[in-house]
Amino acid sequence: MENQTAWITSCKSQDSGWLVNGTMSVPNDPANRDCADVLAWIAEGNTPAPQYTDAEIAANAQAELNATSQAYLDSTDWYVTRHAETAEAVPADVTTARAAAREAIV
Amino acid sequence: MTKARNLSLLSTVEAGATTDQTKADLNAIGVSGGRKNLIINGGFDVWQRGTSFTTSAGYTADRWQLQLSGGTSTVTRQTFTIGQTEVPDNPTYYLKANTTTGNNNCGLFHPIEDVRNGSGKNVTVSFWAKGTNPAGGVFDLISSQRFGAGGSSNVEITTPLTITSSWVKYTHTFSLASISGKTIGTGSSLTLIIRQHQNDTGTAAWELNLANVQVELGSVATDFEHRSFGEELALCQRYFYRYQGATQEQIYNENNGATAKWWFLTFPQMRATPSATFSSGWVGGSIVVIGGTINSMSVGGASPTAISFRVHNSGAGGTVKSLYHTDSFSGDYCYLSAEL
Repeated sequence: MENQTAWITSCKSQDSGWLVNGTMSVPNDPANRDCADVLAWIAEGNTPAPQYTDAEIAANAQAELNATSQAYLDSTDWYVTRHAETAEAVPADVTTARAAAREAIV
Repeated sequence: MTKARNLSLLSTVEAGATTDQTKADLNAIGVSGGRKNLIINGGFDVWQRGTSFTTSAGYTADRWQLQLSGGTSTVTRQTFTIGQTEVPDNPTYYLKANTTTGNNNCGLFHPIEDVRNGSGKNVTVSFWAKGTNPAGGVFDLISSQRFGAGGSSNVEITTPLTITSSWVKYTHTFSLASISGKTIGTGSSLTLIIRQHQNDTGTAAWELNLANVQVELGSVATDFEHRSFGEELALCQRYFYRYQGATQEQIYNENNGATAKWWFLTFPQMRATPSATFSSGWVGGSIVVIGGTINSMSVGGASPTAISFRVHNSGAGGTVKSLYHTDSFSGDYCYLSAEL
């Protein structure tokens, strides 16, 4: 089939290939007819949008930070429980790190 | 008659099968080679995408593409009445193209992979059809040798086709050109086309019903080759594969980021690395333990036999580098296309 580009209304990069029209994942394989169309579309002077917007990158990073911070709090809760039950002090570095973890979670 | 005598008779006939007439004789006594039909889904038994279509340049029944070219048409699957005798051998379905607004080049296309097929030889097309003709009074029946992206220009042979309101078997033999000296690019094919003539811009309505389409080498139209549904489906799946999700689909939690969950799908080898789309119900569900909502899917890596999908999910629960599952893909579809 001849390359056709009129059907492409939006295109953004993916790890492998492109997301076209918001619904179709097209691989970077010239034997794929959709890929041939995307390559022709690029050859016409069009540029695929980046895989993620700055806002998406920031949100993804915050989600990872939230999860990491929550995991640290979960793993050190026993210090707090021990302090409540035995009055043994929570180590200062743990107290500092737990405060930072709570602060990091949004 | 003993089995040995039968085989002896068969050998004698096969040894003399040097002319088309002798091949016809073979057909008459029930001897026909396997895979003689170059058309896949010529009996219109496989409809992985659905049973009603209006989109131009989209596939309808498996392997059958609709090109509107400015026209308006609806292609649907139709069921033969059980026991009907107009079209022999009890086919189950036929294809109906109900074109309410005609235009030039509007019609059906069937690409047979690889332009080498039939080159320099006679190929015979046979099919059953009924309906009404375009404004110009005839369809074009075309053999199109397509050399693919980067290849030589198409070589087409056109013959007029006039149909009636009753089922009739039509046959035509094309003498295909040699491909000597040609350049074969990516995605070449021998494409069978039935469409409104390229110079016929009339907008009158027409209807084309097709059943049991066959393209075979030689100049004799033999009986339609019946393949099992499983065989036909497997042939179709080289070009289009519909995966239906189930419960307990496994999701790998690489890390807690919103784009770091993975779903992995393997499938029979396709013609090329496929494009992927999903039915509407695929997103919106959740991953057990991880929580959140599955917002979208994107391809991480792909080959003709496997794809890894990023599962874009708002949840952040669970342990990293662990396997979880979702039940929300159940009954929904992932569509893979490696069409020509």
